[in-house]
Amino acid sequence: MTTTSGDDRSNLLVEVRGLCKHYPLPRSAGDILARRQAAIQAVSDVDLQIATGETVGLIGESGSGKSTLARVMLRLVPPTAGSVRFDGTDLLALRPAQLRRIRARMGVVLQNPYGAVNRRRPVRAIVAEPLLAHRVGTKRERASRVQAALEMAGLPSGFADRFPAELSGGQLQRVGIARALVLSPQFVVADEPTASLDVSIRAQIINLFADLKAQLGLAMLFISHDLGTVSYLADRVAVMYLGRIVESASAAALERSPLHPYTQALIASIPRPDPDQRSAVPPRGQIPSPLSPPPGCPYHPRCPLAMSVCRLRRPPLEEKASGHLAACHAVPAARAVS
Amino acid sequence: MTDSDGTAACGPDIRAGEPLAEVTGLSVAFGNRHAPVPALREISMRIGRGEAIGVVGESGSGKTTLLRSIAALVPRPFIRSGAVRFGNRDLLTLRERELATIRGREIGMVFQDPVNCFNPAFTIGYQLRRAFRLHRQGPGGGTNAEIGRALDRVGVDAGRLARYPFEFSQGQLQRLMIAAACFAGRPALLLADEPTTSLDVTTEAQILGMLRELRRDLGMALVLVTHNLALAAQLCDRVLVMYAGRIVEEARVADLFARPAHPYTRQLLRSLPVLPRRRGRLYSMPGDPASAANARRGCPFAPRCEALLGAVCADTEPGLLPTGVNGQLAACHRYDIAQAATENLAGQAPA
Repeated sequence: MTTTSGDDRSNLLVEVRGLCKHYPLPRSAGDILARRQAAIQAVSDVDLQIATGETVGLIGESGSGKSTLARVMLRLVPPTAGSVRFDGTDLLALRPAQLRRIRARMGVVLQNPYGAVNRRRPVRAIVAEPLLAHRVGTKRERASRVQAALEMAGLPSGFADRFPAELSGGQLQRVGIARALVLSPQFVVADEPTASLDVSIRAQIINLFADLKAQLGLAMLFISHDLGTVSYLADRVAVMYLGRIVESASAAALERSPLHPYTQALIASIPRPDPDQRSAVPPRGQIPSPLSPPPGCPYHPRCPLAMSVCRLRRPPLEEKASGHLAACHAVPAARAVS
Repeated sequence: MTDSDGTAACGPDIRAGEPLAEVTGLSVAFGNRHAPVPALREISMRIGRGEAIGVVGESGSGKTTLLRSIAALVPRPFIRSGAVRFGNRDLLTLRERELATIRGREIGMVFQDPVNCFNPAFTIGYQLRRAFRLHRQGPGGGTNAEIGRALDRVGVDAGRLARYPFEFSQGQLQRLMIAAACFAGRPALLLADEPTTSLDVTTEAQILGMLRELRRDLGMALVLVTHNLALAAQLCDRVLVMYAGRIVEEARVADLFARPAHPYTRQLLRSLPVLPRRRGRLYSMPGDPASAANARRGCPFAPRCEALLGAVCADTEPGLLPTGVNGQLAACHRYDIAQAATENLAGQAPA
């Protein structure tokens, strides 16, 4: 999206089009007679492209659909509508065996490292798990790949025989990262990998991801609710609100001149480590239920700029400046961003 | 108790200028006599009337244990020494029955996870009424009108009292917790343990603004435990930085952020991924946070410190020493060497 050159297409690794994920709710007898089907609209009509070696940051409040989008992109859950292409292959058309083969090229790092590992197994077994699942290599080859992955994740060789209970939160998150890397994936989804870590450890893990990105040329979807964390890693950032992407731009442009009022509110809400800089007035209210999203623009009940059109029509996600997309009626399409 | 003269000196009345609460020489160790697991070592702090104190630290630093000790929630056998004076009483010597009249009434508490603070089987109204009746000395507490006024102050619709906890968002539950903590009794001191950690940034900003207003209007003192330095910057007058069960720095909030004195504070501030994004690589501190339980000889921060002075750091633990600025204290050997070192350090503070 930021680069408009033609060869960008050939670099495209992950391409999501019109993706929707709705979770139907149980129906009452009345609903069935009236042919009504209520659904939680977790993800609605999302387009997203990630090029080889590119890191896309995904931010938004809890309940905005970030994690659901990631799960659908890995096809851990099937979408309601839309398509996901990975390296040109439609993930939704694949048979299980084919899907398994292509999954070996993707990795995932989860938020809570304590919940993501089997505590009864040593680190080497945890990291080797993807290799076994994909029946890769001989025992010796697997051992050397585990060793290499642990090294990449910044864990000295002594850690292979330790158990999760002997590791700190930061070390355990490195184990999770090693496991995601052991199959040498092209694409890694990291879902809030720094949220549960201490301040000093969070900086270590952010830098580890930055190094991996540079060394391995990974494409990455980095999910976080903290724009600060994302801005140190992402080339491009997409902002989600109530299941939709409401703004997307280069990390620098988004931080410097956010266009959508929601993004502006998110940035203004971040408490600053500076007693002289009081945080701004926070946005009103809270994220509405994805069960019954408001009509028109989903942000209008909280938006300080809301006009009558915002209550009626949902603004499309359109280019407001070069490479800078936003879904807002109040932002003129031709507005130039310095 | 190591500090008997401090408690003996205080009279029945609290004169202006005297602290609301004071912790002296508090050491806490869990585990048993044969295998103690130290959590706090020789903590002393004063909480002035209406003052907001931030207690900042990473996991294992002892910040939550300190907060729980102030409310006398740490089981008595684990208190190895020290006193927590609140008004004219030492909370650590009171009986449970006496404490029950102080907690909730004079000391309010707000915890990190509001979801687990409510019983899912009872309505919010029922639970709030119980809290309001319990903490009101006289009769007539816990009327719907009174609870309604409290909910109004924290921005929750009073018409929802008949609802159950699952029908509220985390942010709303935290508002309800704060309503119970601030209005059920008349606390002079609010203890808050990571009150916004499980919340989104927008909700966090709302809660932050609300706490600021409540504190101003009710004149409450606040002890805010957090891992987030930014929250302390936004809400507090004074900040204590904890590491491995000790206070390693104490300063007025403006001084802490403008002139952090302890190398740990400085390194911690540099490792924040702040906006606007600083150019280049984010600074990251080597190693893992230490806890008091695996304390080593010398300064506990020495293995991660980038300003080591030499053998002294590895051999002896520094005391909490004045840095020479506005009563700022830091537990670092550079302050026992010379005044010259202090001046040198002030020049090194990050922009």
